[in-house]
Amino acid sequence: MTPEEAGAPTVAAPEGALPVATVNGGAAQGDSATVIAPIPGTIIAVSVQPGDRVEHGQELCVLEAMKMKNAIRATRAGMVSKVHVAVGAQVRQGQPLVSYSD
Amino acid sequence: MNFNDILQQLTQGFQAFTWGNAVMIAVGVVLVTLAVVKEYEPVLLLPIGFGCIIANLGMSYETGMMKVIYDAGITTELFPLLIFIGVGAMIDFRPLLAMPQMVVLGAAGQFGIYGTLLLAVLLGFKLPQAASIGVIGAIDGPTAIFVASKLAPEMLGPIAVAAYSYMSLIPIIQPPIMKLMTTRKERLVRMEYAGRPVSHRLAVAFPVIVTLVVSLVAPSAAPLIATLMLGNLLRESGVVDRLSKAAQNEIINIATLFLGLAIGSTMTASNFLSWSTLAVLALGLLAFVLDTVAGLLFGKLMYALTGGKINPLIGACGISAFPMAGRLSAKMAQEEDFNNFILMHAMGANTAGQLGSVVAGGLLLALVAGFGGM
Repeated sequence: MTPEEAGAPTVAAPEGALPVATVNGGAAQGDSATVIAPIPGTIIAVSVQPGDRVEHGQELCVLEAMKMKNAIRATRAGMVSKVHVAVGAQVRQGQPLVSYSD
Repeated sequence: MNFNDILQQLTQGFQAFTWGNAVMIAVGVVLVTLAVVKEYEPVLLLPIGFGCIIANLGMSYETGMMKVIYDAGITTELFPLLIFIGVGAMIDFRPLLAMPQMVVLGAAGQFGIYGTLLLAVLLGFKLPQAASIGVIGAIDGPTAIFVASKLAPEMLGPIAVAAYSYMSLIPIIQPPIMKLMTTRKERLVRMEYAGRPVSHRLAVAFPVIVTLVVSLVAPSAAPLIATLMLGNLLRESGVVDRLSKAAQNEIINIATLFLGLAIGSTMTASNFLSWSTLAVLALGLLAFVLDTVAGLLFGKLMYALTGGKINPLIGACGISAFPMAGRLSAKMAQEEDFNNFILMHAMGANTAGQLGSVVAGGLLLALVAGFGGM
C-alpha cells in the first residue's frame, strides 16, 4: 500500500463529485444515467470509451481500493456517452465514473 | 589415521542421519513446494521449509549460524516485533476510524481462542501450551509467535507453521463456513460506505492513543501494540516517508526471512515428529474455525439489531489475517452480487481484528501469568 493509496479515502471531494447518488447502498447505480464509485480508491484500468455499447455485467473500469482490484461492471445495457476518469485517478466514493447516453 | 577413521570422517553426515530426519526433510520440501507451486504465503513458508530441511542436516537452532539467528530474534522476541513495524506501516486504519462500531467484530473474532484454550487444557496440554495453541485461531502469525516464544517455545515450530499455513488457506477454509452460517439474503445486504472523511490529525493521533490505552490495559501486549502503532505512525505522519517505506520493505523483509529460517530450524525430527504436533495443527484449525464462527455470529447479531443493514459476512474478517480476510469477505459478497462492494466495511472489521488479536494475545499472557503458569 503506498501512502498515496492510503490517502485515497480522505482525498478532498472534487467539485461536483459529492455523493449525490448514494441512496442504493453505495453501489454503482443501476438505472441512473451515471455509474459512480462505490468506494474510494484508484482507477487502475478503464475498459470502455465513449460510444461503446455495453451489456449487463460488462466491466467498465477497475477500481483499486485497499490493494484489492474491484471490477466496476455495468448493471444495465447501454451506450457509454462519457468516461469521467482516467487510469491513475484517485476517486472519492460517489464520484461519477461513466455516463450512459441512453 | 587408518582407513576406517577416514571412512568414518567421510560418512559422518550419514551416520547422524535418521529416518526421522528424512521425514522432516520431506516436510520441508512440501513447505517449499507449497510456497513455489501454490504460492501459499511464500515469503514465510519458503524460508520455514528451507530452515526445516537444513535443521535436519545438522543445522538446527541448537548450533552454529542458526543458533545465532534464533537467539538474536526468537529468544529475544525481536523478529515478530520488527515484522509488526512493517505491518503497522501497511495498515490503513481509516475505514475503522470512519466506522468505529466495527471494533465489536474485531473483539468477537477472538472468541475461538478461548474456546480452543479450554479444549486444549482438557486434552492434557499445560496452560501455557494451551494458550499458545489457542492464539493460532486469530491467524496473526507475529502475535502467535510472540506468545508462543514466551509461553511454549518448544512448540514454536508447529504453531508458526499452523498460523502461516492457515493464513494461506483462508480462501479455502472460510468460504464454506461463511456460506453455511449465512443466508443468501444476508449475503446480499449492501452497505453504503458513508465513511466520514478521517482527518489527518485523527489518523496521526490514533496510533499514539492506542499505544497508551492498550499498554495500560494489556501490558503484556505492549511491545506488540507499540511496534504495530509505531509503524502506523510512520505511515500516517506523512513526514517520514523513507522510514515508512523501509518498514514496509527492507525491515519487514529481512525480519521475515530470518524469522522463517529460525522457525524452520526448530523443526528437527526430535522436536516435530510427535502427536502433540498433530494436536497443535488440529486444535489450531479448530481455533480458526471457531473464531470465524464467532465473528459470523456477531455479524448476524448486528444484522438483526440493525434491522438488516449490516452484512454478516464482514463478521468473518474479525479474525486478524489482515488483509486477506477482509478481501475474502468482500469477494464473497461480490460472488452473490457483482455490484455489492462491502470492502471498506470488511477492512474496518479486519483492522479491528488485527488490534483485537494483539490485545487477546496480551490478555492470554496475563492470564497465564496470573494462573502461575509461567
